[in-house]
Amino acid sequence: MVEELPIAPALVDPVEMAVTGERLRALCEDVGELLVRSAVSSNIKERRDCSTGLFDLRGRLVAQADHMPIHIGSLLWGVRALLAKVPPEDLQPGDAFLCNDPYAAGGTHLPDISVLSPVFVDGRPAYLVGNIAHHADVGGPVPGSVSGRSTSIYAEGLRLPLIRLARAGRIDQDLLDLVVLNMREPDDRRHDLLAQLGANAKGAELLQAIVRDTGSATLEAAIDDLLAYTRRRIAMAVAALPDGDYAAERWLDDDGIGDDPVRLAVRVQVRGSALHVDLTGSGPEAQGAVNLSASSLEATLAYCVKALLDPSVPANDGLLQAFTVEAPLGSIVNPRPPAAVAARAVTSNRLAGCVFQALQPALPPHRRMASHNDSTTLVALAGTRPDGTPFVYPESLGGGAGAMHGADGAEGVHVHTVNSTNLPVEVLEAHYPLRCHRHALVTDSGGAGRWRGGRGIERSLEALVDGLTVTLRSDGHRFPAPGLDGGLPGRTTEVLLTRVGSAPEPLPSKTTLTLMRGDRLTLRTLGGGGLGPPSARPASTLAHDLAIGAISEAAARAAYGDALVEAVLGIAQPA
Amino acid sequence: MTPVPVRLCLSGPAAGVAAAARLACSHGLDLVATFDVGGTSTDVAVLRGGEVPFTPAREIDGLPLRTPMVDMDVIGAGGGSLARVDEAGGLTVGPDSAGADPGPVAFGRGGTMPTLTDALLVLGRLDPAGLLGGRVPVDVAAAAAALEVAIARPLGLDVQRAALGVVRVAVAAMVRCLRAQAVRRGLDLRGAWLVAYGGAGPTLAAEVLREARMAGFLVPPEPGIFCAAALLGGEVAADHSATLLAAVDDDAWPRVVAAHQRLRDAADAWLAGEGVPAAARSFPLTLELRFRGQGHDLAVGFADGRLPPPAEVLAALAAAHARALGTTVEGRAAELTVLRVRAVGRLATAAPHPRPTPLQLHPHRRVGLPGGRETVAVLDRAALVPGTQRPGACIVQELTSTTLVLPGQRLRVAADGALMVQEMRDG
Repeated sequence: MVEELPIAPALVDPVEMAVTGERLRALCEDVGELLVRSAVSSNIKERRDCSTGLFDLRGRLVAQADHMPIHIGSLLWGVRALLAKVPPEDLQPGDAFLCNDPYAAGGTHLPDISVLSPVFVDGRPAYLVGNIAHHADVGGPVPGSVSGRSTSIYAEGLRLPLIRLARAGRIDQDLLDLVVLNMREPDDRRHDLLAQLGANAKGAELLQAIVRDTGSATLEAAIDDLLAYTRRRIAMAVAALPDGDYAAERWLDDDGIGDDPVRLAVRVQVRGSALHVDLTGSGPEAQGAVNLSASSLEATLAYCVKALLDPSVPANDGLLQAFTVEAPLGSIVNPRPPAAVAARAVTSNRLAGCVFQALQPALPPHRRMASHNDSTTLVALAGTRPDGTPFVYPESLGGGAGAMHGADGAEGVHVHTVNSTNLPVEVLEAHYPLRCHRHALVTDSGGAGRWRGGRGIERSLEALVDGLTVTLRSDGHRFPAPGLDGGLPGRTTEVLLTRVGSAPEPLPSKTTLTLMRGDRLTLRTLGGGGLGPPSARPASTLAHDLAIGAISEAAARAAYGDALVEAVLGIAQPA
Repeated sequence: MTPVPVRLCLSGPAAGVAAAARLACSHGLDLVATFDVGGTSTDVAVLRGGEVPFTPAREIDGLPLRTPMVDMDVIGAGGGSLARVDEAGGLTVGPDSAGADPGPVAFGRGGTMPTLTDALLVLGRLDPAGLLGGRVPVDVAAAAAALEVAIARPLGLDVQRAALGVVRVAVAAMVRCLRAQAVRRGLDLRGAWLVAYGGAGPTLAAEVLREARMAGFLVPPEPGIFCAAALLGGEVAADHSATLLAAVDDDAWPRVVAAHQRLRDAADAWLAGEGVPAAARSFPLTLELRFRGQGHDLAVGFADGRLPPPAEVLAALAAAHARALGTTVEGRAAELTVLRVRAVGRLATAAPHPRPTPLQLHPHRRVGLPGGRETVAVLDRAALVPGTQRPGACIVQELTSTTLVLPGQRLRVAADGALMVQEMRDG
């Protein structure tokens, strides 16, 4: 049953709304760019792991720049904490607030620090501008503060509730000193926090110019229009789905500490234009740091709704109001303090994969896709070069994407809420005492189907010095990416250690070990699922798969059948 | 050097940027943004000090291209951009385009969905008697009808206000991309001049000037063929580069010197092959450098083409680092990663200077402006003499484009025939 939604009933001024949308988006992009240019932390400067948002005093997200999906709405919880703690009459121009704690201030994980500043119009606070950035370290036992093995938030670094860092433009130096002392490389941390403050100041200036140009009442009406319009767009996209309950489950290999897999359960309920996501049945709080904080959960689900239903819709309050969530308290998707949360990237990605999978039957066939790698494999190698200098080489590997209706899955990519580049082999070998023996797509790793799942990534590294520490944080070793509509699952991740003179031995997904000179570490990440029955794959396409080594003859026979393979081998191969 | 076909990508717009840089220099403008609006897209680049910005890599059609190219952004907004009201009541202009076929509704080639050009015609900003000196007839009534059905009625506006809305939305999107380019290069648009060309650049420049609060806009002669003309005149250039990985010190330097000489020889041979006389050849040098341990290279240029000794290279790197990143680095060793010799040849043929084609024009017409419809003077660019000054609103028409000057702006014709427009409070 679809409600009758008239075309343009409630918008006051669609033209003003569109222009305002562009201007506010430009503001957030400008502030974000300024932050990226002035930061020293490579997470901010190079990976652009930061986000900028604009809020009104009703606590609504008005505009956000398109940076990392995991940050959609992440600033919002900090804004709510600010509005709950600080009455408007206590705000002054030049104030700035900090927070990061997931339990006290709705943060995502401790390295992501939010800085929030009020923007004044006609002498009264009218808006808030904020940015969140991933700092390279916030203390805790392991450099980088993102260890998967912490068992409590107390061990993850410095926890910041909503605190005032600057009053009327004057920074509280004692507070800043205290904060950065608890972080490694404090000078860099200080530099980046000040960069965040500076970016907000610029944002305030830009917003005040927009208010002057547009008029504050007109701007407020345009913002109301923008949020209502966004809400309406999602509502219409949901209404286009058949009513029903759509359920799926996926599993994490383990909870970071123990050996048992952890269930993620999703039931998406569609009733007209209402969308409800029920996570009942999801596993208990993880012992390790893979719990999903509330704002990470909301961001993950907002990303799913946007990506699946209306990718170009702006990220604002209209999107966040378009769905409701139910997550049992004390589960991995709604942890209680002091559960650890630093390493939640895989949980977020696997949950996104679960929501995507649940909704496939609701989508028309031409929009369907099989499951992606929904994971990430993080490996860090640390040691000392022959010239005595220490080094740390972190790498994060994607895998195969799921096949889509009409196309094979993309190969060797990151998906969902993770997005970073790899290190080119030329640079790797020039800077680290490592030799890369193989950097390739993993044969036979994409799930078979009418359309094939994308292949995972192989990287094989040899230590050229003794005493190289390897920290591995991987997943997808136990449960493959499922196929869809008759397509087969992809292959799981495998990590192998080959000591000099020994046979390769498989490693668990989370481990630390030491390599000696000549030892090799081989990572092969998981592939995406296939879509549609393998028997329907055209012979010429399968011939191409065989020719480029995407699939071996043995695997092709097993998945596609001898008859198809015989037919293929009869087709002339390109020279 | 084997020919590299990918270097043809965006060569037209790139030539336009290079020509705009020369124009900026000749007018003494330090900070300039190019605004090339065609049928499907708008190309923008931001330049300082007359230097054409290069990027070592960019994406074309989603594919990565790792060869130095002019650093510009391409926005999916142009004259043929389709205007529509979506089911949720939002007005969008582009990125879908009617292209050349079927093109705008007014071109009568089967287009049924209104475009930005249709809106400009309905507003009278483009000549209802036709484009290209009347060679392309236009059906303004058909454009108005399409706008009425697709935009005005769903939004509850009259056709004129709907057309104004389409222009405003398109301009806001273009300004957002201009700002993004500027901010990415650490520059402030407010002090910059817009160089407007392409068929539609001069028609939209006045609104962009106002929305982006820039210093002014400049329209070169024959803006509709600015890029093509730029390709004919100017210079030829091609990069010859080598990846080296050498320390910046005396021990490693002989290897670097030898590589530089090889690249020089190759560049010289290429220019000879292009028919450039020896006196017209130059070989500006760029070294990609980093301090040991850094993750990114800084490009340090030596315009005279001379490869300096290591100590001088280190000093140049330190200075460039301080300028670009605001921090100084003391006592750290440096590494060279890439040597790049640019072969530059000034062509023997002069750039064409077409004499403007006089047009048969109505001296005025009704034009839709932000404040309402007004009767606006229409001037033939061919008849404008250098030194002319006029307050807006007015329209300057020529064969390949139309320039609009808004009320509150002032037009001045420069000695070289360029149209220079500023806000009256600035001019």
